[in-house]
Amino acid sequence: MYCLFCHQLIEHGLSWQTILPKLDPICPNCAQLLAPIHLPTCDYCGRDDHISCLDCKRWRPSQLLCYNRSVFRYNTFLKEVIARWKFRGDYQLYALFVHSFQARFNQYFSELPKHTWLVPIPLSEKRLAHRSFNQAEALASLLPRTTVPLLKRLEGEKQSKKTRKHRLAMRNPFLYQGSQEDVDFAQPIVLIDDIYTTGTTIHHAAQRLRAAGHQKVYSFTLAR
Amino acid sequence: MRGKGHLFVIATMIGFLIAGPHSLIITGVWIFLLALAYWKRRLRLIECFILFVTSVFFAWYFPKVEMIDKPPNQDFVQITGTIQQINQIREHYSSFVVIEEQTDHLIQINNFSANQPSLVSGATCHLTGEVVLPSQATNPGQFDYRAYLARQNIHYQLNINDVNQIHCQGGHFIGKGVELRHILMDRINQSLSPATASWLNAITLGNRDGIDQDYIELFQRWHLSHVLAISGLHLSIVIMILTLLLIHIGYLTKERSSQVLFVFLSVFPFFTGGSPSVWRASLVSALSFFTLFNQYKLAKHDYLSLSFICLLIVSPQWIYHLGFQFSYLVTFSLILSRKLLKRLTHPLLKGYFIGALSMLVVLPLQIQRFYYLNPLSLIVNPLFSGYFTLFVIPFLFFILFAFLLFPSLAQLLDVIFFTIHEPILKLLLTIDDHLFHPLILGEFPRYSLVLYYLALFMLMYALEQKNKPTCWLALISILIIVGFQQIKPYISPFGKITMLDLGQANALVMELPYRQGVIIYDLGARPDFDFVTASNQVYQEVIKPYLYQSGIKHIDAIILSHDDLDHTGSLDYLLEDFSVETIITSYFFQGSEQILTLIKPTNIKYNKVKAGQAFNIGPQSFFVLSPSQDWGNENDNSLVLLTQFANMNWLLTGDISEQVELKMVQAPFKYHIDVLSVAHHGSASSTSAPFLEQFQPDVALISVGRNNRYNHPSDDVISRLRSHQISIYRTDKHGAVQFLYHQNKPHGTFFTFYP
Repeated sequence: MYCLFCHQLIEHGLSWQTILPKLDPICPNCAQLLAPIHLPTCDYCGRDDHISCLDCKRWRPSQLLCYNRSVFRYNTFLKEVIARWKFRGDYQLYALFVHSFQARFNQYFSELPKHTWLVPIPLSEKRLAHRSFNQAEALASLLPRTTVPLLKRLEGEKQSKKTRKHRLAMRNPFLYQGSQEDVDFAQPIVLIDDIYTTGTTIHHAAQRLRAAGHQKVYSFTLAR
Repeated sequence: MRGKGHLFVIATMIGFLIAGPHSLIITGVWIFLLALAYWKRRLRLIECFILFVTSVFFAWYFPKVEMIDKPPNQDFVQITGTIQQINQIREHYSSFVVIEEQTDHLIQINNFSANQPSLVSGATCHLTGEVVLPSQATNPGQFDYRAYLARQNIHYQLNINDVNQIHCQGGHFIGKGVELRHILMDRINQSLSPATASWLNAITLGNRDGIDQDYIELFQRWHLSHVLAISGLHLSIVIMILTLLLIHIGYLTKERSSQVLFVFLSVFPFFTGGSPSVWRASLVSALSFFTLFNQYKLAKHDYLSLSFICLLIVSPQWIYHLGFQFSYLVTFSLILSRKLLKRLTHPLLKGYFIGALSMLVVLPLQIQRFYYLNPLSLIVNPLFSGYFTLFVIPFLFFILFAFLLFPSLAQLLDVIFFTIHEPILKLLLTIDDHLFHPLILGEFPRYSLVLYYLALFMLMYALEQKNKPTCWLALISILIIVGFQQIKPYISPFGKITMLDLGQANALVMELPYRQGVIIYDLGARPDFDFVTASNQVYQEVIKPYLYQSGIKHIDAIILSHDDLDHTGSLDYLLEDFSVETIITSYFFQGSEQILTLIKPTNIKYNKVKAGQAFNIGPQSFFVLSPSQDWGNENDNSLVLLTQFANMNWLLTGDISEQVELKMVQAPFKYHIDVLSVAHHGSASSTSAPFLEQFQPDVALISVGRNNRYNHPSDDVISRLRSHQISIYRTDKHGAVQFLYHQNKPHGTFFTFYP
């Protein structure tokens, strides 16, 4: 088997721990470049390097989100992986994090009921057509919960092309598109996205959901 | 499946287990494990399937061990066959295996004549000799040579006493090549000093026949035998020297020299005796050289696994070979520990780690085979292993190359070698004299073996994870598993009485419940070739293994009935290995003086008793019924004892004759006997009718040799016993006879080694 990222043969040097290694399509070298987020994390935004962070100071008082949790630190390596995955269309790369993504979800959201809804952050129609897949939906599909597209995104500039200041000052690009009849507002919702950087996107989405009447909104992202 | 070769090794071994008993359970567990691995995303479905098929294939492929107990039709035969394997050639003994031409049966030839024929693999031989069944174990703990040979598919031996009855011709190409080795060994023996020559032959050419048996046993006691076997280390030294020669002196390219080495490696095992470890090492190196020529790259342990499977396909009986098992166990565990070894920076620490791990990983197999463990070897072993690895092995190869190229230099190196080597061997001998304190662990049951390996795996896993609590937990579990072996007899409510089968000699071992005492009544031996001195054969082959297997290291009392070789001969040998509290004989015992001199340097007590007295060994009471007077002959002066096991009265009689029996019948003290140990191997002059009439025993135990020259037991005695409806247990028919009883229960059960 070859590593999906570096395309080298996957060789676990045999040792007492790797007599029967997991079938992850990532070689030990690349795997060690991924930095999983370890407990303890910031109880709000889920990062583990600055346990009380500036972003939290901004968002916490808004009380839009119960909390955010993430799987990996957004380091140089992960940046490269996500860039290739998202922007250069190497869709298969999501397989690199399947197990960690599932395992962390079960760990962090074990208390939520089984019928919790997942709401992936949508792409605008133009972007979706350009990219041909929504990375948030791809991630949500890995989790054993129902995905419900409650949000719609208006056209806008690419997030990643904006500066931090711009992003924070942006208007809310999301629209709520759930109908009153089929929606149970007491049901917890987990927003799914690939990256939580400043928290703007997640909080914009959360704001729409809260405004529509949903009581509990969480978020879970691959990178933080 | 690259990088997963080790899983095939596991599948092969499971195939071996499936071929044995409990195959359904093992298959079930195996399927469950594979399914678990699939479900936990560790293996793909196709991989699970391939592994399962591998184990099923090997379950079918491993030869079923058949035991043939049918004696040969005729004693002396003439056979024609081809030499398949040469086991050993010593001065007064050689042994080899031939395939008989007509039947394709394998037959082991033992040649006891003073002269040894020149033997070449593949040669056709006409042989005349006596056909015998290999000797069989008849006692618990005894090495079963018949089963050992049966596993190699050999069922008969041909004993030859005259070299003129061996006529061999020809030999195949490889056999002729091996002949070169003998010529080389002879030349080494002639031109170098004997000390150096024997070690040179053993370590570079794989022939240990020149090394003193005492040294081989010494190395065994200190778990050092592996340095005597040619293995990967030796090979890597040879490869290193050859590569240097080929590249720097022969001016060959790297590719060309690896091709030369590949050819060299494929003949090397034939040239060095072909033991499993040589094959392993050569095959692994040859495979990795082979892959240098093409692009397909495998992990190192894949080559090792491949060699394992290739060797078992070619000779499946090697799965039983202790050397094969040790060789692969150690190599695999070292490969698994590469990560751990990298962490150790100091070479001395590395050496210790390797030494200790190699010991731990083969420990259960060693206990199963030898019933003891030498704890101090954990300290001593790495030192000597290191000495062999760093000095002896490279230096001897150096001597060998010098011997081939510059003989005069070899003479000089010879002197250097033995001036260093001899004192160091002496040192090991001294250490052995003072520090050999074996922990006698007894029989190591299967479940302990499984638990031990699980704990060892946990230990290594935790070490790699640097998980200290788990390390300690695993280490403590290992100590408990091994330590439990020591405690087991002390918590067992069962007592065991064993009449050992020593042939025409007696020994009755009494192990009391909760190990409250170990008492031995008589310690016979068989005479040596001179018919006067006691041979240590039955002691080494039966008595010591039995006591070791039962986990006995201390004997509370040795009771000797009378001074005859077949009742006392093994005493001297036993005192060398075991601690003994008391020796008890009758007042009229003739060998008292010898016993006194024997025990003088020790603190063993010596008590003499006579009729009417009673003595206790722990909670066990013995009443002395005879001798009350000096009967004037040794047999009649035998110490006759009455004791009780499981509420049954046991009478131990030594070699008394009718007249002593009569005296006992007439004695005013009346009692009943349940178990009678029949006097004098069932001779007609004992076990008289009035005696049986009076005591009415239910069970008779007869210790007697097969086809002995006295025709014991006498038919009269047997019919007398039969007429009293007495059940008879005899060592010549049943092997060892054991009586097992519970501390608090009134009855026990007799077991025989052979049904």
